[in-house]
Amino acid sequence: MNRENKRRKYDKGYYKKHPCTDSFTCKACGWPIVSEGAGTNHRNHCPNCLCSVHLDVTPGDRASDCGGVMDPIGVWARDDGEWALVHRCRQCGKLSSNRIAADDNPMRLMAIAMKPFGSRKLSRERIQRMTETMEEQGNL
Amino acid sequence: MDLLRGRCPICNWTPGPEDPVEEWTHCPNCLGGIHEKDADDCECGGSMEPVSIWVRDDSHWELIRRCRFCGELDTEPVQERDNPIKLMSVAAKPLANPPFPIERLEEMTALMGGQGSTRGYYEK
Repeated sequence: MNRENKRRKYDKGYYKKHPCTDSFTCKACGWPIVSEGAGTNHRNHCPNCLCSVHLDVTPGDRASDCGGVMDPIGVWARDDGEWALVHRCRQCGKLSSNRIAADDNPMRLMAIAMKPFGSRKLSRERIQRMTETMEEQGNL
Repeated sequence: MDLLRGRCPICNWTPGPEDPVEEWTHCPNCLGGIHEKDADDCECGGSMEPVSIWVRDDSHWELIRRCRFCGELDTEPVQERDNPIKLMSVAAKPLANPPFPIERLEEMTALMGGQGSTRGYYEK
């Protein structure tokens, strides 16, 4: 174990090759997080609030010195149908995409996906008018 | 966007007579574009594909786009002229492919000890 600790400390790309099995508390919501149960070896966001922390430049390199909390701003379905979360750093605005984990709070995930449909940006009246003009028939 | 000829290199959309002749940051028809500068200021040339919508606040949406070639993400404010059907389609894509059964959403959340419920919809 001592040797492993030493390797973890001095090997620059350690987390690129090894999963991180440490338990930690979420920086954003204080949820206690263990690495088990994610269905993946790479726990990269909190299963409760879905926030992440800006540690990496490329996955696992721990090379970023920003350390800001990354908010989940959107979900997208990849070509294989799997969902991924888009995270954006509160401090520097960096974007990253992370696969969802098996124990992520499904209610929060669904809330992010539903958000555009509750917004007034696409006004109902305009869409109604559009469907009316879409149904228009040419008078011969 | 292909400014010289004023047409979208992906879907071939051309601005109509009443559309402003300005610099489009993305094509208002397909919401795509060409990935011109990546993180290292090099030209990538891949096509940027809209993958998701970020609701910044109620009246301000941003388009999350991803490069098909290098996978880089960027955000782009949604413009007034943007195709509403395409916007809806992008927003609905995750909903059409849910990773868990929607009818068991409440049940799953309760089993996992999570918080949140859909009761807000039914409340008067």
